Amino acid sequence: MEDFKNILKWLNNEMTNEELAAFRKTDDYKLYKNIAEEAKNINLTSINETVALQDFKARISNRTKKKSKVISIGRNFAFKIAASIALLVGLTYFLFNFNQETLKADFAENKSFLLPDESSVTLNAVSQITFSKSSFKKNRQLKLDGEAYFSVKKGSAFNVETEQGNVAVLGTKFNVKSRENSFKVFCYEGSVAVSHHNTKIILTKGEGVQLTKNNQLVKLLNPKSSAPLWLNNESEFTEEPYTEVLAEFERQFKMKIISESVNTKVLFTGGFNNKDMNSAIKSITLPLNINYRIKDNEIILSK
Amino acid sequence: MNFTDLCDEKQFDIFYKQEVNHVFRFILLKNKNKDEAFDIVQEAFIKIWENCNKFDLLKAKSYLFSVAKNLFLNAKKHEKVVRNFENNTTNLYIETETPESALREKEFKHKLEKAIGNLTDSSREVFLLNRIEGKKYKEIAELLGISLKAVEKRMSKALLALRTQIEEFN
Repeated sequence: MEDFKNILKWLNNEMTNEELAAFRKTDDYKLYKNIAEEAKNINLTSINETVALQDFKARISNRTKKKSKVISIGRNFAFKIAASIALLVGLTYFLFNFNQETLKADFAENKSFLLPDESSVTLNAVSQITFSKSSFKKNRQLKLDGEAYFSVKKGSAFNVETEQGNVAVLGTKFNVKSRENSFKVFCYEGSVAVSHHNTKIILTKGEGVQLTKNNQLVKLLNPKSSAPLWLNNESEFTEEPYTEVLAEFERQFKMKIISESVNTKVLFTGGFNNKDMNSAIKSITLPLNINYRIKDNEIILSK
Repeated sequence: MNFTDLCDEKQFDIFYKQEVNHVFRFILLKNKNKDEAFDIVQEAFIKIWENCNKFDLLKAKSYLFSVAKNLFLNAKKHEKVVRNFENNTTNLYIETETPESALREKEFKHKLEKAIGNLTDSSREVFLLNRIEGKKYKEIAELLGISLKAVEKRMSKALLALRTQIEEFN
């Protein structure tokens, strides 16, 4: 009579080497060795994986039928006029900006520059500053589109102009973020003056301001922070619109996020790492119970 | 990237190709109709795909099997999914038939196949999951929703039946 306890142990790979050596000498082993080994090779119906995968894809696309329309631009007269105007405007802009210096950081990069007055600036991804090459030393004025951290050499007034407001300083360290859906200034050293429409706020070390949805400047306090987190490859958000979080993600990873099917108006507090896309996408989707799907350079969000 | 993100289409495809035959054979143990079994497998993968961010790879594997099992149990309630590849010339199923004039070495295998075919459904399922899918008794118990003791009982029964039958063929 067989000792099934032992046989079962053997087939579940639970035996130690010594137990196995001893078991190999038993009659039970001789009786069941062939059955156990040959069973692995018996012929079972298999599926052609490639054909099955094609079928799988077809089933998925049948479920999520997407309708997209292509709008063609007619080659009519109005189009030609528009093109000519665009060319003219472009040419004027080029001539006007001949004296302008533009420094920029592209997708997924941070870049540091030394300005003519020896102040330094670090640009976050997809950001740029422009200033006049000839007069910057005398008149420290620049335009910012995006986000930048400044460390300003003491001296005459240093002005940062953005779409949403201006920041004036004497000598200090501060961060300015001016994006489509976000305007934020934080002072890390010295003091800065932020003006937005008719409001003017003076910030000292450890203070910041953020523009809310209702177009009001709200103070932020963080006395311990000594430099913006993005310099260490972290993006952080406090009650900021989700659209801005997604936009920052796109800038940091050079990905396109398709977010039509989720509510992007909600406010988000949290952050993500700018170097690890897999954990970053989880950090911004899981808390909101959003599903995501990566396809090449696109990420599709869904509820 | 050293872990599989199932929301990434390329990585999902790899996961799919790795697992599809395991799940298919598992369902085939219960449902002999290949087309129905295949539909169930596809449905199970769709469930994983739709919930891709909720799983890591390990969880996805066991989830896949239990979804497939539940789908099988509900199969009669479900409408049959229309297949898209009916006119496809490429073969979905690969069958490796052993010819009657099998070589001598293949004789034992042939007997074994016959004997496995004669097992009761419940013991065949346990035996093949352990031998072909390499699953531990504990995993099989979880998968089938039965106790570890029951798995061991079915396995012993299968082994004994196979041995006596093969002896009888001789």
